[in-house]
Amino acid sequence: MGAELRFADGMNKGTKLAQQSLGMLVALAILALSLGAAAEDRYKVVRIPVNHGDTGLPRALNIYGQVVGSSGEPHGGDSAAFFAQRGGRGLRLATLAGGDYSEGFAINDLGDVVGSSNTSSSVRAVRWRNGAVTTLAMPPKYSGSEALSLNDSGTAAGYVSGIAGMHAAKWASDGTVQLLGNLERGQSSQAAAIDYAGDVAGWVETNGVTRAFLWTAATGMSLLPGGASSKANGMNDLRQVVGSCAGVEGDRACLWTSPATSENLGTLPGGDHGEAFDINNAGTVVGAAGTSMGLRAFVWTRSEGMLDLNSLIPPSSGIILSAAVAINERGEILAYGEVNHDLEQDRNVDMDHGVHAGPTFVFLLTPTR
Amino acid sequence: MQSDRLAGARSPLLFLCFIALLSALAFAQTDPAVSGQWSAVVQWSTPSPGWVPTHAILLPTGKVLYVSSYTDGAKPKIWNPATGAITPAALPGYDLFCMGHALLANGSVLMTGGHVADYVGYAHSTVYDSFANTFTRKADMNAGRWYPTNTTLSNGDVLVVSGTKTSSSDYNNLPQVFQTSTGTFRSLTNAVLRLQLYPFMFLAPNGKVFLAGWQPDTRYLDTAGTGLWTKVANTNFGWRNYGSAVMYQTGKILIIGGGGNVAGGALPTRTAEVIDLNSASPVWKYVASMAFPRRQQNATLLPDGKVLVTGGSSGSGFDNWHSPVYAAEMWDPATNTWKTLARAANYRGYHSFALLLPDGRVLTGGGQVNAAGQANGANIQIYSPPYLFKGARPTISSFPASVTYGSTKLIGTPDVSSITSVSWVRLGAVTHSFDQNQRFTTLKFTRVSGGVSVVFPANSKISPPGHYMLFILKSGIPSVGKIIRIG
Repeated sequence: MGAELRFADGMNKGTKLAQQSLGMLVALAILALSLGAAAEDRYKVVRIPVNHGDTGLPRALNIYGQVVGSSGEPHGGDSAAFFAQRGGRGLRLATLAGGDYSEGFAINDLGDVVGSSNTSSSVRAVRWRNGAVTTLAMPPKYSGSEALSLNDSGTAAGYVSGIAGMHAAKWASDGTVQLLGNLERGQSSQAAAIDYAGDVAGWVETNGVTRAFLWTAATGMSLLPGGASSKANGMNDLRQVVGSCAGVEGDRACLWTSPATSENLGTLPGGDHGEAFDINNAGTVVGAAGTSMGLRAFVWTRSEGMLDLNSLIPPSSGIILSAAVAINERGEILAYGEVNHDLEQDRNVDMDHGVHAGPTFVFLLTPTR
Repeated sequence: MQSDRLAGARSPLLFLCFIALLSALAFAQTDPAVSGQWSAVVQWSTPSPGWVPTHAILLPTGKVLYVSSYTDGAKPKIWNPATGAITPAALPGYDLFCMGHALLANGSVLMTGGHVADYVGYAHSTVYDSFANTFTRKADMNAGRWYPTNTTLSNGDVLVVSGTKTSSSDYNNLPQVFQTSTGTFRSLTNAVLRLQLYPFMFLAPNGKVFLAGWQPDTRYLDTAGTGLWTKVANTNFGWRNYGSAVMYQTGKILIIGGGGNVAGGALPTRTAEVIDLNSASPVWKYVASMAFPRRQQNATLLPDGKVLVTGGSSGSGFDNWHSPVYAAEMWDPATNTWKTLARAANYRGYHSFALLLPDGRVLTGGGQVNAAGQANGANIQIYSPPYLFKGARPTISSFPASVTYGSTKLIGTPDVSSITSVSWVRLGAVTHSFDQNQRFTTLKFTRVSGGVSVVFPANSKISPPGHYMLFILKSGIPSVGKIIRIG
């Protein structure tokens, strides 16, 4: 019995070891496969049709997945502001008379859109409502402006520029304009983001050096910490701000969870550049970061850090996402990139040739769980 | 019967005439005095074989500084046309690919922006000393610029416009003026305007800078104070995306090709238009069209006042290597006619350049992809225009190293009696189908003992301060250009 047992034990040990090893391998393989599959299926990707030839550069989306940006010729050519939504057809937004470029920068949950349109002599901040375009108010001594952000109460933020300089500004829903001032004489400033309460994030510039700021009605404008230079691009309703901070190694995506704390979100493998464009109230950040193969869209969460969004969508999609520009409260991500990228081609030719200069397309990424 | 006999007799005659005609046509195509001649394709040195020379700048030394694409943009090189030798230039300390460039009054080159990543531009500026081969960083601009245009102003400062900052939809709408005296930038805050990438900008005879496209609303920018845009006129064709433009005579601008809805698959145009800024109410007028539609082509000013067009694609899409245009073409402003010239060996599309050399030849190179859609590599080909095959060239035996505005100077030549015209062409600085520095001016002259007495431009609005190639011409045959500084 004992011998049998020993034998059996011996056999069992060997068998068990083999079985355990095999089991572990299988388990690991299944885990790896499941993890891989899970990672690749994290988002469902839908291409958003835009007007004007279907090449588009998105800027913002609202809770309903409605998107604005500019569309037209790739790489700086003929383009105009567009509005689009899932399953619908892109709509070219009206431009100001005499203007040759326009762009939609922000859309709120009520469907109002703000942005800018060229006139013959300057670019002007505009609001689109019910299909009609109107210019936003201009203070004396200013001639140009752009509205870059919009909250759900209809307050827009951006900048005005003229003989008095370039300064961050807000436009209330009733059309009145408010200059947000500067920290130093001679500085330029722009407001890039606005939250529900009307707090504003943006940047000031002196002699080519930009610094991110936070503005509130109570405290006015104050600098955010973070490197030799910094820039704020987006903010959520918790006054958390995202953008970029420059260190010795270059620009990195940056998060300010409080006015006193900046956090380097890093970059993607092989990259030496990163910038965050938006953050939702859950604290999920999106942006673009350099890789050895060019710019790639990323998503950042506290738990997982920075991930290449291209690794979270089905590889069979044939899409390369170059930048993620906005995220809403449903976790939907607005990105742009290219399609039918041929990775089999000579890398030197194909690497980002399309994104560098060719058509780009608008994608909405919806979480699958 | 008689008619049959006659017909029978005519047939061999007609055949012989036909053969003779074909031979003449073939000869015309290959006769370099008619069609010019392309050199062999020559390989250039580059650290990464796949990257291509994308920026080419003729220095006052007569050598060419070139900057290649992507990461090679941090390692510029110098090509010596006289020897063919290539040597490394000084290192700028960052990637200059996708920068803007213009020559300064002292022969240095102001370089603005550069390549952090696609559509992400550096805010840096640097000055390259053409003689000492050094880079000196200057003040940063207001923000990054990827694909800016630099334009030297009449006072020697440089206007910088456009470029993207951090993404493909994040344009730097603020024009700035680089002030050579301080190395800092003055912001034209009263002139914020969205422009295309690498806009076609020219210093006009009134001292303002003219935006000639490719957007259809062409405008003046007054760079005084905080700046001011005013509309001039709309082009007739409309958007000329990735066409090209030159100031072919003082205040006279030619825009060529480009256009079409790239995403929609439309073909580029063969049309061309001119505007005369010397007129009280300038308007764009169509001139004769090219033989081929082209996008991504280069336009180069020649010493005889004609405009050479090389490369580009006639197909739809942004950089359609399936439809390369190999034949060069030349526009003669005097007759408003285009002439089709010899065929280049390679497709030169997006990221290609063409640059006039002091010896009257035209250096062409770059292009991201070849006609097979693969990496074009770092190769160049030199075009010799027909004027180099039409007889002996006049020679310049003496010339001043520098001149002042409105001055009259002797240009020594043993060919006094045969000189029919004198011109000068500002040193080129070209990238992405547009030369940000070249401009052509005919100079008045009289024949005197030992040479020609040349009257140099009266003011710096006609010829901004800096270096020019001076040519004397004998019935359209140019001398080797001599580099002279004005201002």
